[in-house]
Amino acid sequence: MAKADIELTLRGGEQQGEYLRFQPGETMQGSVQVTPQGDMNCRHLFVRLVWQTEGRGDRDRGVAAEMDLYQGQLPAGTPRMHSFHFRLPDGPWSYAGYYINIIWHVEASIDLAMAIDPKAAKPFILALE
Amino acid sequence: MQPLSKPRRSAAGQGCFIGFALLWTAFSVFMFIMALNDKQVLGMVFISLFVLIGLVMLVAAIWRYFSRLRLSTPVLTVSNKELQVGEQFNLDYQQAFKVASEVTKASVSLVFQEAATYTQGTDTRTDCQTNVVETHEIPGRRFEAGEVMRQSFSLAIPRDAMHTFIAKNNKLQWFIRLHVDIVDWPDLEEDYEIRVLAQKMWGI
Repeated sequence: MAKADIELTLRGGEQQGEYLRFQPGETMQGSVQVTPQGDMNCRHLFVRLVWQTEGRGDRDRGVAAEMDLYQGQLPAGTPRMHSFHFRLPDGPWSYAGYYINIIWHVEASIDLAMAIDPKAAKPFILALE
Repeated sequence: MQPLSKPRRSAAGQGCFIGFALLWTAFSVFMFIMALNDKQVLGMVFISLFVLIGLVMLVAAIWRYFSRLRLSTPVLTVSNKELQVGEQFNLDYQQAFKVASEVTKASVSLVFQEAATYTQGTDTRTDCQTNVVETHEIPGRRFEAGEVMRQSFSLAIPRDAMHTFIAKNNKLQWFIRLHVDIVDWPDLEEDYEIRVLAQKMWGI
């Protein structure tokens, strides 16, 4: 099975507890570092801005934005860093309710042929002050 | 002022519910008669449960329908149909009486509701959590036929509230809930949706 260490770093926003809080409409900057454990033919290195619901109801999910950062060979053990930036949408805002929570995260995934795509996610808060 | 759209449980919806309850009851009674003719006691007991469910649905549907017979369609208008978080708005309510009625009390509430839909086996269920944000009461009195009950209110979406969010299985919605309690008559309760945008009132 293809494995890779994927490390997502977000910049900007304000620290709120263990997460960074960003304002709707703000530009989020970040980077993703990929270190494959074996040689990989990366069809795409996607970074996505994703919201999803959690709680009592069946999960709803939306991809607000997506960037394709890299296509090509990823040699084993060689870290590779890519920067990205997203303009954050107006909503939905992060929400913690009785039955429903709305969670935002940045998701990085390596699209591989005939293998499970390695993935990593970094949650953040989208809310007004 | 802008009129609010049809209530969540509209007259057409109530008509459909009555139709469904009628069909259910008629089919259950037919099956019961078949079991009676064949003298199948176990079958009769089993089917009688369905007849009972049908009758309960029918009574509930007719009871709800009756609440409309004394009152005309309520007219609710708001100063702004698309609100921002923290925004204050005005609501005008008026409703005419078709026949003389004694109103115990009437109220208009601003309601926020979470509705989470999930599948459990082959069933689909929806659980709701309702939070009444503010309520304004209209004192009860006797209204003559043709008389109009009217009142204006000032309401506000709280500063720390959430905007309207509608996805396939999860909904966060805002409603104006109208409740009219008439002596010896079914209550009228209707919810009118208002949209709260993912924007905050500037300067709050």
